[in-house]
Amino acid sequence: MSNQTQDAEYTMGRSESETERLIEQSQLYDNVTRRFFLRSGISKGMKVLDVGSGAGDVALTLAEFVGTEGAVVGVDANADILETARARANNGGFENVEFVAGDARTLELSNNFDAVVGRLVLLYMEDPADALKKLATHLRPGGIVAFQEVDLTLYKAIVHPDTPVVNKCIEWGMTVFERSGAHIGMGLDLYRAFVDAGLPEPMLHFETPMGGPARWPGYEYLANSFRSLVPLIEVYGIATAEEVDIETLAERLQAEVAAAKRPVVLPPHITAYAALPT
Amino acid sequence: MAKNHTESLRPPNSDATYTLGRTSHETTRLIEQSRIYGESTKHLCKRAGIASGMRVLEIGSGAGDVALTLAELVGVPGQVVGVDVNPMILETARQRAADAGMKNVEFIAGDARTLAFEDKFDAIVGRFVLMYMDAPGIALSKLITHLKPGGLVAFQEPEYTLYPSVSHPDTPLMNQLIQWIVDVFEHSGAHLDMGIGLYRAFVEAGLPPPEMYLQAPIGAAEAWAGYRYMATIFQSLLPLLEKYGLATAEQVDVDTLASRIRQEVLVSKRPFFLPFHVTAHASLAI
Repeated sequence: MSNQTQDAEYTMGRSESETERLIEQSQLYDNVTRRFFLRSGISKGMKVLDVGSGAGDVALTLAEFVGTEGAVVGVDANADILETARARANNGGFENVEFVAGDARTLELSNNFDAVVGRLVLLYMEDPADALKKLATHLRPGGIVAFQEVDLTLYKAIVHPDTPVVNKCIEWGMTVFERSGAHIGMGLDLYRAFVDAGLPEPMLHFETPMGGPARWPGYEYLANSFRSLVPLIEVYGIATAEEVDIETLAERLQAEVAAAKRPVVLPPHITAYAALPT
Repeated sequence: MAKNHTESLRPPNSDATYTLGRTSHETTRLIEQSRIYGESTKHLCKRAGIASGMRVLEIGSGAGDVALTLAELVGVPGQVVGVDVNPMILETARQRAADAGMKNVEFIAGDARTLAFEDKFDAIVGRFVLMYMDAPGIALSKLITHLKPGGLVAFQEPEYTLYPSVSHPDTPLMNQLIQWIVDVFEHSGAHLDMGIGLYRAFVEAGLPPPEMYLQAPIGAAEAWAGYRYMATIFQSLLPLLEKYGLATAEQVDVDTLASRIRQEVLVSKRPFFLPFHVTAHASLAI
């Protein structure tokens, strides 16, 4: 993250298991993101800027959408994780993706991108509206702005099933994101951020994966999210590693959901897109 | 947590009253509904694996929107059979199929749980229909007897038990609207938690646990179609709201409803949520 701004600490940390978690996350939310790109109008031949690439999942999905005649530039403040992203792009045989370390708000990039896209990134930025305003300067007239963000305030409202371990996890999660300075209501604030950035009113959509109780990767994903969160949870004194008990968390979540005979909702995502005037 | 409030209000072994009525206005509302929820229905069908050449049974066709979407997906080599208990609305569905030049779709009046079909189907699809059926798990177990081995099952159902917790904007008008919706569906005997209840229904019917998504059309833009759609929902609900003594036409004031909602949303700068729905799909063992 940039030194000049008061961005949030990246709540999930920078560990190897966090990189694995990002890849898992992408498998669960991939359908949501793909439908979002379709709706937004991301298509063959476009040149797209991906903000906050991390392990590269969104950039690789975009690379499929734009095809060989298009191009994707992925930017992330964390230079290390981009090594993983580059390796995955190589392994996938993608020649239309490149990754650049830096802050997409201030980097010198071309101003003729067809779209600027981000997933779970505005929530860490100090001033999301100001960030959108700066990011949109990389676009050509008529360019698309498309962001997918989580809303943890909404997650608390729709917690399901309403059982002790699930509830505790949500409470810890909300507290640690809030303490680290992330915008826990970023999803529902997307509309306001677009409008305050001077962008046209965005089209919005709410969608989140559900699952359980058996044969579902969501429990591991939730537990691995906590694996990434535990260091800050301890630093802030929210809970101890023993209380979180990472090694048994997925199992305990699954047992609780199985007993409730009801599915679990993963953290809800809200998508927003708008096109600049031509 | 979401309890089934409805059992005590319903006669045993009977379906719910169709809460939205059988008027021509309701037919118009169904077509508008499809504009708002249609995209996620189409994605559900694609995700479930519905493809060109398949023979698909569609439950609760209404004005025919889902059947027409399916007819596009299965193409000319495929076939869609749409079933609805209301023969009147199927006239509209047939007319729309004819207008669209769709020759691969037919509509049959009746109860798909008990109808007999000569040939088995590759897939069964339904939108906003299990919510009205008595014992959805048993209903689903009857419906899937029409499937071939390996057949696909895809349903999209509303979820009203979660709806009151996300009142946006959190204003007296919105809270009142959500309360009316919950109350009228509850009184009519519909399953308020059918969205989340899809999981249990699939498993009770002997299907594998489905892949599921919780979704909602939301919007905050001035020109968004959702405010007007909410008003059309209330126009259809009004007869039962009045009959059950939940609200009067003056209280609901359908004619000004869309503009009142829009006004509140514009002031709040936060998105307005239409009712949640859940999409779920699974396939039978081969």
